[in-house]
Amino acid sequence: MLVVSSAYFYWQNKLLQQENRSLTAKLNKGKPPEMSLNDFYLYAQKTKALEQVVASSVYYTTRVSKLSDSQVQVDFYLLGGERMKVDAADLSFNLDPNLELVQLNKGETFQNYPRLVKTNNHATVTGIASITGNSVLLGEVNKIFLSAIIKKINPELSSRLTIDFENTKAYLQGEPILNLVATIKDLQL
Amino acid sequence: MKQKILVLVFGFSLLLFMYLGTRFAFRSRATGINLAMKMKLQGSYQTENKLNMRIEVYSGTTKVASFPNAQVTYSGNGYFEGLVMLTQDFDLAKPYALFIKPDKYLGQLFCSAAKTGPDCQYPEFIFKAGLNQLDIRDKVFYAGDLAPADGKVDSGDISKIFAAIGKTNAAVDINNDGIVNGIDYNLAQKTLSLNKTDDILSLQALPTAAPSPSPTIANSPTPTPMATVTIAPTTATTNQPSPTSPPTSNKGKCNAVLSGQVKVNYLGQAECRVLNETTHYCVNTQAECNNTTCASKIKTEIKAGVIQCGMGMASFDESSPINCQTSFVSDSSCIDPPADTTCEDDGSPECPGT
Repeated sequence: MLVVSSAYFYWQNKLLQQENRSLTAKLNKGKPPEMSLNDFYLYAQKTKALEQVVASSVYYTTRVSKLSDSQVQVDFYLLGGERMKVDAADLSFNLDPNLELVQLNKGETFQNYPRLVKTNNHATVTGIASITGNSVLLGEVNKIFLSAIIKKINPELSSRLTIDFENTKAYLQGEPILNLVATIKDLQL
Repeated sequence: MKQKILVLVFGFSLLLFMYLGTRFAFRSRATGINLAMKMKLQGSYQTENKLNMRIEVYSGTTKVASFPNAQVTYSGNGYFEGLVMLTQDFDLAKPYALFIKPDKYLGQLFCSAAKTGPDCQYPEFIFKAGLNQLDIRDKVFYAGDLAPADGKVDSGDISKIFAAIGKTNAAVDINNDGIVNGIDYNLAQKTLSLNKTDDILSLQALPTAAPSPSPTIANSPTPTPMATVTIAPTTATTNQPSPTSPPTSNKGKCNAVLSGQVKVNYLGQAECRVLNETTHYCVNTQAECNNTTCASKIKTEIKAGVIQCGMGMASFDESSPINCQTSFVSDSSCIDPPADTTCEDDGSPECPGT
């Protein structure tokens, strides 16, 4: 009966679609992955950016500048060997209760800082290689990674900034390159 | 003697009834739960793309089961779907919470389809035996937590993707398109910029009160595909003669103009097509040719067709609005139209608004 076939189409259609998808997937499985022109260009740019890099370790250090009796600026530097570059780095630190994080400013190590998380007593910042517009820019070492303006609630009290090593890292080509020994552990403010 | 046999039979029947009652009617545990899942992930995928994930089941604060190899497939409609079997003994009276962590993505904790993350404190999912629907498409999963997964996206994950750009590396190819490229990099970067992490398990022990009144895993309207085999008897055909056409003994042809909608559930998904056809069937009396009987007969036929062609995965929605305009023609040599068993699509249009 015609009416019965009007209900049949659901399953037939479903099954045919499923079969079609399955066969397409099987056909594609044997094929090498397709690289678009953009992919090729990006790959070439990445290779070029990495060509001159001489891999070594990097480490964080700081320089403190007094802005007023109650405010200081802490510049975090990412230092490394000549011709060393970095493709991603995290820096995280905590402040004791007498300190308050007023402001975070991106540094010059990376062009791209996708994460700048700040609370009164904590900061987590990540800089990564920029691939915008298919041009690849790696992180430059021996430049300021981050600047933090910190307020002392009671200027008379000694206070401390502590690096959170669980969330402080640096990588090149997927390999950890942060020298934990050379990196500053804490800072008396 | 006869009385003794009757007593024995009665006793046996009572025992059997009690056994079946405890097994089915009063069942409070199930050794396996099927989840018909629909979920959405950050990024775009190709059809038939498979996604592996880990599903952990929590009762109160305790993890009671973990299924590390659950799998769903990209449907092509912007989301993943699939039937996930949780092969574990579950208490059907207890509420559960689910932690779902797709490979290369951040995990989310669900107390219900709506309560997730920090809002998820008390488990609310009440499983039903058979098929359970879990539609969590409005809670997007964020990409970038590569193996070994640590519940967050950081410079290490980004660097791994960067290192693999231009290569085929399934471990970091987030959208599984066969090549690691800027898309994968940008997906992880987006998650990083939002500072997303795995949901923190902040479950608390259940208060003594009953669980939430609105569990969001709903029993499917078609708990098991074979449930549709039990065809309801059609409405009595001889009890509703048309008042204007008294029964006669004339054999004849009942011509029918069919209209309305055919609604079908396929693995929990509702589908609908417009019904607009003409057909006929043979009757022994004119009284058998009336609109009610016709509609009932057509529904029964569709139902049988759905079972046959749906391979047990589909069921006919009995509430489908089907109208039948009949006209009787006296015809002693009436022959029923041949049964259509081809399961072919006749190209009927989809219902408006679907």
